Amino acid sequence: MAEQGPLLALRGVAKAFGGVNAVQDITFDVQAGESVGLVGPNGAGKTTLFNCVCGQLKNDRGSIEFEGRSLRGLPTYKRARMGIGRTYQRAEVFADMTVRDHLMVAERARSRAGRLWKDLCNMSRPTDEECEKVEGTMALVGLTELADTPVSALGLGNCRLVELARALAGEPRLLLADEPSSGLDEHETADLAAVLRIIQRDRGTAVLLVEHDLGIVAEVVDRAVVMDLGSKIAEGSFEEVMEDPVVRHAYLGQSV
Amino acid sequence: MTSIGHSSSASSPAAGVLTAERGGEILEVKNLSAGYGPYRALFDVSFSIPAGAVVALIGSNGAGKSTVARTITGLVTATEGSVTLAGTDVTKLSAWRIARLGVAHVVEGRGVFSSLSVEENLVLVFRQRAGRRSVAANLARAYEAFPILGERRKQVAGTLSGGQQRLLSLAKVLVVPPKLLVADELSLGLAPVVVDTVYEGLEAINRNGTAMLVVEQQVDRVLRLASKALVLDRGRVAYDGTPAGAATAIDQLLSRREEAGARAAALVDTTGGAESAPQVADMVEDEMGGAGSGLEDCPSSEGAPSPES
Amino acid sequence: MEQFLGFAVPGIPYGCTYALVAVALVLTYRATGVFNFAFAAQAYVAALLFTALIQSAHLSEWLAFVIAVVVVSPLLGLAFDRLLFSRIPNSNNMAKLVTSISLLVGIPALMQVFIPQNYYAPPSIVFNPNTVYFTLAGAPLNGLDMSAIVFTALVLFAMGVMMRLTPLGLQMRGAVESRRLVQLDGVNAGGVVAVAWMISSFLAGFAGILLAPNFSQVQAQPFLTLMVAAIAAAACAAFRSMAVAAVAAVLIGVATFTLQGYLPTQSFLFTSILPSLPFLVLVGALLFHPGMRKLDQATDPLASVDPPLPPLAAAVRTPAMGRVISVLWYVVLGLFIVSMLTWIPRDWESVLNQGLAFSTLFLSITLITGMGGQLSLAQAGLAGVGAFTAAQLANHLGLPMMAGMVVGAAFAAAVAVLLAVLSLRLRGLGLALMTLGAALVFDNIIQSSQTLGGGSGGLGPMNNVDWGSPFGLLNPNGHALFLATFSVLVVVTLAILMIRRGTVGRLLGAMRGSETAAAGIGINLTWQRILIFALSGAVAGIGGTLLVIQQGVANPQQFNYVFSLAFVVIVVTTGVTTVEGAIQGAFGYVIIQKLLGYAPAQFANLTFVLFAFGALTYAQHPEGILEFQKRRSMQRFEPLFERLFPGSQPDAGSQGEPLIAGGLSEEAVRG
Repeated sequence: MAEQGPLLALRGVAKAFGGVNAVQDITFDVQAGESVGLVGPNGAGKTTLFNCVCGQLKNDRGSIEFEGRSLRGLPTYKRARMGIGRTYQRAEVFADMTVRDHLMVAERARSRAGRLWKDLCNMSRPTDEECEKVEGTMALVGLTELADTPVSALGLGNCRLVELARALAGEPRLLLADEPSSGLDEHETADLAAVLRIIQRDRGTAVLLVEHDLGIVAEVVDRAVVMDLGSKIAEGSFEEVMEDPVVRHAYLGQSV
Repeated sequence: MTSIGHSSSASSPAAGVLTAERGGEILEVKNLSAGYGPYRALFDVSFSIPAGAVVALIGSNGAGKSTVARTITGLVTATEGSVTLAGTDVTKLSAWRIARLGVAHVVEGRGVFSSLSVEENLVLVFRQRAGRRSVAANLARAYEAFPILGERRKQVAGTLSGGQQRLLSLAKVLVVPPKLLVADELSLGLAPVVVDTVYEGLEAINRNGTAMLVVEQQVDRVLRLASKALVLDRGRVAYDGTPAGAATAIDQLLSRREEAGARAAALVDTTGGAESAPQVADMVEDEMGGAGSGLEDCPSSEGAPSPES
Repeated sequence: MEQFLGFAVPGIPYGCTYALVAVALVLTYRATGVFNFAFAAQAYVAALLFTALIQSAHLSEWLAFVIAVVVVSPLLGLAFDRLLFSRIPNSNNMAKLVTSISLLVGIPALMQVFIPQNYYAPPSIVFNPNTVYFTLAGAPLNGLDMSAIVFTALVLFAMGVMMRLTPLGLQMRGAVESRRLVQLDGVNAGGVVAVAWMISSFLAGFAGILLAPNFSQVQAQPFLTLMVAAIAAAACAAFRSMAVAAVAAVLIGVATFTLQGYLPTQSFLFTSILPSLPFLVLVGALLFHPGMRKLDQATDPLASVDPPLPPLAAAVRTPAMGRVISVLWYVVLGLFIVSMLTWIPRDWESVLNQGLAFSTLFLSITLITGMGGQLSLAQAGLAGVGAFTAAQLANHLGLPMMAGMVVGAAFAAAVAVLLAVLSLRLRGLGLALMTLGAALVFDNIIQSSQTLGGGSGGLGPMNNVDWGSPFGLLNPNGHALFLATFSVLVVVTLAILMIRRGTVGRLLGAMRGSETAAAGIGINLTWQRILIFALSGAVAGIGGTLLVIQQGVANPQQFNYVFSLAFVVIVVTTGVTTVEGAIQGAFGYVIIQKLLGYAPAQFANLTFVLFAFGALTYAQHPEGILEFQKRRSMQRFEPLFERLFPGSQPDAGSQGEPLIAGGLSEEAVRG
């Protein structure tokens, strides 16, 4: 039944912080395997919308559906288990863990194989299957050589890749990527774009991308949604929306 | 908004004291690098602001514009390089000392004390900037320029609307003009009419000799005001020159980005270095029951750069 | 009404002293983000100094007042700010908490070293304590009451005027909201904050000398009680409004005395619940006051300027080094077992047995703080729950202590789960206060009840039950006790190591690293928190029972909340992230205590001073100062090992070794 419907459906989503409407009346869909860019100037409400989708914030109005199921009232971890993966604007890594551990913990959280008694009976060593999966994800993202490095020794660029790999280890059907390129140099950015393309194409993961680097957006997304001051002001192919004078005005302040 | 022009000219004694020597450079930034802990935001940024000039600082989100503003006013400590204000090295000074040297910083977002009343917000800053005795006169001038603030003088600032809060933070700097005004995203989230008011205010104090660094995303408007423009890209200065040239610079930057994006796409088609491709293929097969991995069109390439190189 | 007032009025003077400290707490918390537990210690210092100056140095009361309250108290506050708190990054809430708790533990202990215990009768100021100035609703107000009420009113009025009407007050209120924004207005925020510290410390000192005359002797205990009431009052104001905090403080004082009047003496409510009233208020505020849940959220609009916290450095050892160290560990362990069974004298064997018991108890802190990332101040209380459960079961049902230990552990785990469920929404400071409240409620119940806690002498074996049974296995006079305690510790340690290596350990590590991201990959944070609380409670219960078996009596004093605080301070010093840390802390504690037994009595509390000083370095060395030194010295040996075992280096190509080289841990730790 979910085959026909959109993967993620936002309907009239609104969120206010003490009178300031951070997000108002946002409606759009993300289809399975599709890559959608969410762009807009600072303070447009993109990250707030992300937080509403993954459950860190509760939307005041409107509905968010994932594979036809309403997400209302579900805590973040349940949404993650349903298949919503996420990266963060300010890289959120587990400081005292190695890269491999990040993926392993994500894998365990996904499979929910963790049990206290298993730990106590020394039965929670990684299985071959798990190791293979983890190695595979690391290879995909290009972190194989850093597998045993604690993330505290990594630069921001690699931390972002670790985040991405961690999200992928959870085998999401929808990946929310929040400004994955910020703080990266041009080279790293290009690599990141490549990874996003690969996962979308090879794993069929839908990507909802917040990004201010229009280069990435142009290459990665099938479609773009433009937000300004909390509202959606345009939607369409990237070229279309960038031609839109309203968008150019909001984004660059360029008059028509 | 003529009242602002009027008010600031009325405050000419203060302005006279505060204005830097004409002709020189009010601010000189040399090889500045800064960041937040492990996050590096600025790399080797150099520029200068001539006395009395308005410099527009533009660039995309995350280019480091706010960090430049914060490093100049001492909120963020530079890791390398120097900031010189009218001949004084202020790189290592704390924010309040720099403020006392005559630098005002209107921060991005809400820059007012939301638990203090409107009047208290103004009194706090006027005492520091213009001395205790002229507080009453300055208050009167502020209310004359922004009558809405006068009406709400006893109201707690946190209960003002976003636009009114922005006016309040402007009133803090406009009434007693500083030597250098650093304004961060003044127009962000404001209605166009309010933005007009804000810019008229900026012009007015600039006429009194205050130099300005205006950080903006609303490119057109700031370029009309500015006598010089800087374009930041990923923490580096991408353009430093006339406002007219800045627009072209931005366009070039955007198209370069699009090219970079295209290169990234090309990379996808050639990457999947020797070691990763088979594993990826296995994995994809595992997950999808062997259906359509799509990796066949990915010829592996030895030369493909890996992310950490 | 007449009767009500008669009960209520005597509560006002107490309420006034609470109000002073409550206002001090709110002021520093709002201005600096530091919740200064140490105000209790500062009040104590002021009272002790004031009294000593008058009675030993024969100064006039006014001079002593000026020195103790007007000069020394603010200077102490200034020193705390400049030397400690201003150096802790604003976002490091854990470091701020640990630092203020160490001061609370360390300062009274230090004072006792310098000013030996004696029986000073604290004087009152201005008003004669023996004169009844007037009678309100039948309640006489003597000089003590008068000075408390009059001076508190004066000081708080002056505070109000200062905050509302003076430029300094305006700057302070600005700094309270955002230290950075106020700097942009040209205000020296550091200076303003320092003044806030001085004022609040002055208030605490003042409260100290007002409170002291109510007791026949200057001791630390009443000041801790003062602190707790003040915390409760401040919590009613969500640490925001000083006026609300002051009013709440007076009301708490009044409520305590009113209830005291109405409740039948000797009833359970009177003896146990009444002293816990401040905690019940505190817990109520924590649970129901919406402001308390947002405590650790940044309110500063410019908070994003703060760099993120440097992560805890992972210990990186070359494999050769690791192997040598583990071999050394086994050697030490073997030597220890052999020595215990052969040449170690009886009294030292008993001390080391105690060390084993404390090791287990301290491991509960490793679990909850080191692995779970939550600061709990109730660990001694939870140990007490386990210990008294086991002791009662032994006395009344004849259950052997070893079996009772299991039941006690389960019961302590259940209590811990209850605590976890109650504090699900609390983090950092909120959680610390909640657990502290729990520890105090436990104290009051167990200490006041003859049946439950055995009264002042503690609960010993009763009904002809032998705690050493079966087979005298746990008899404190044989080696068997050592072997039994040791085995329990080994089992607990292994279990913790397994958990840490296993899935649960990884999930907890993720939660510690970033709660946001942990939830984002599908980890149920609520469940993880409950789980780690349960585990920690169980281990604490086991440790408490071992301690009781070893001492032959369950003494409520042993599980006092002051110990909860002290234990945290000890483990933080020796390393809260590692199992060795807890064990070293336990042995350090018992051995130093034993050695100090040979020194003059006034040095008895020096242990706490030592550990408190160690814990003050937490902000710089969150892995524990001892652990830090250990790692550093090991790094010095590393080149030697590399030369000795050249082949043992991991092949750099495959493991990404170059990235770790160059003393990563030290660098990260220093940075």
